[in-house]
Amino acid sequence: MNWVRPVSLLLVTVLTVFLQSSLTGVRQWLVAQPDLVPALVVYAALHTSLATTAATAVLGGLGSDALSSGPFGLSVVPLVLLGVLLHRRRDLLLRDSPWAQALMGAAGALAVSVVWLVLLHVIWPVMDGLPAAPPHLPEVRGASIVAPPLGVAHLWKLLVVTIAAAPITVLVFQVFGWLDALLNYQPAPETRYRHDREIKRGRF
Amino acid sequence: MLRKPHLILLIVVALGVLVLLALPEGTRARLKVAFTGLFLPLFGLAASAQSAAERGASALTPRSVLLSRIQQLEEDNEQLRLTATEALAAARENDRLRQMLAYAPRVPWRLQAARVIGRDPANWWRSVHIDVGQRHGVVPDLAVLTPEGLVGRVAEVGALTSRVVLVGDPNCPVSASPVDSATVGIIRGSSSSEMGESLVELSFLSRYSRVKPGQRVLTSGQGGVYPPGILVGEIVDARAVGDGIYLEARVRLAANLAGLDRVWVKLP
Repeated sequence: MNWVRPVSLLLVTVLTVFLQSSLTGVRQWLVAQPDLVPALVVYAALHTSLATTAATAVLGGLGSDALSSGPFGLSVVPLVLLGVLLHRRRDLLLRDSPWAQALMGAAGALAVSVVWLVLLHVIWPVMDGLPAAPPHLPEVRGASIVAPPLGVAHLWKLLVVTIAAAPITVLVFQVFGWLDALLNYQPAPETRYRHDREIKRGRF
Repeated sequence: MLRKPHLILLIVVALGVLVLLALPEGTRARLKVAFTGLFLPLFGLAASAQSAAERGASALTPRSVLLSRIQQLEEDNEQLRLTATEALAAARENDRLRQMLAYAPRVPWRLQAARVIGRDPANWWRSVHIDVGQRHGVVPDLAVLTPEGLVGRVAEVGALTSRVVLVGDPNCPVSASPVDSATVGIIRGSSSSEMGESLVELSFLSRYSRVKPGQRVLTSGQGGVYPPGILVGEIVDARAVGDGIYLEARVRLAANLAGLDRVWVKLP
């Protein structure tokens, strides 16, 4: 039943991107939308194979970009980087401690947002060869995607994304732990009984 | 150093993303719309659940409340019919005058109702998804509005859904003009308007223009997408920028972009 975890992770990734697009209550209240995909990538990197981690990051990134105004495919890069780096160091990370999970989730979400903004402002203008809109017809489409101007408001959004990612990551670990216990074969409980320490009675 | 599988994966992903970003704009847009199709069943499911919840809520509404609501709507309807009669007379007079001046006749608007089914999942853009697409006659660059005012323009169109870029997004500039003022400016997304969706900046207004708080701002019709005369919002304040070369005004949008539910697409 090894396929249960990757399949459920990918399904949850699609569902997460959809919920991020549909549920707008938090966004209206905080003027910023918490990003749930980095939490899933952190979980995938610490509990699944490299292929599943990459698939989660690619699906999450492409899904977010498909529903967003941003360049299609750009979000994949920071998510895959996060997944690969955590997967590389997973043996050294305290994946079972909720504090470590929260810290990794918060740092991961912040890093993903910052790297994405850097890519959008530095790499994208080089990649995109389209001309800017003509000044006399500012509304005409077909020009390059204009990156949002950076300002103080972005710091608030980064703060919300970072702080919200901490409990979300812990929740993701809890939910997948529960799903794992429900759907996967569990290791047989260890017994205190040892054959080599058995006291043999009677005639040999 | 990275292990070999990690390195191979990074190289494969980097190449894939580079190829994706280097695709021609049309191909990339079609790919994006196709990938959006992955979410269509979920959007459909959410819409069904919402309508079921609305039906349930209306079934629970007391009869007295419904009757008073019907009465209110009948009164509103009568008022609107009177206003429409007056507007029709004005339109006839306008047509006659246009004919006398040999102006092109005004074409009545064709509108398509749409429901907002989702918003941009990222924090950095302002866009929404609506439940009409190519099958309903929607094409890119159509104006989207509510009875209160301008909402934005259609950016990408799928078979059944479309993405609308909202006013205030950096990719939705609007050529607009304050009422009773000859000057025309451009509404663009700005860093100061990022904290809320109700305020945008109207830049490049002539420094000699008379701009005052409360003044209404309408689309100028000179930008190439929006027809003239659609209400955008009203001026909050204005200041001289660029060493006094031009004025920049903050505009409070008339349409409530944060709570959009139903919008109208102006068909060609």
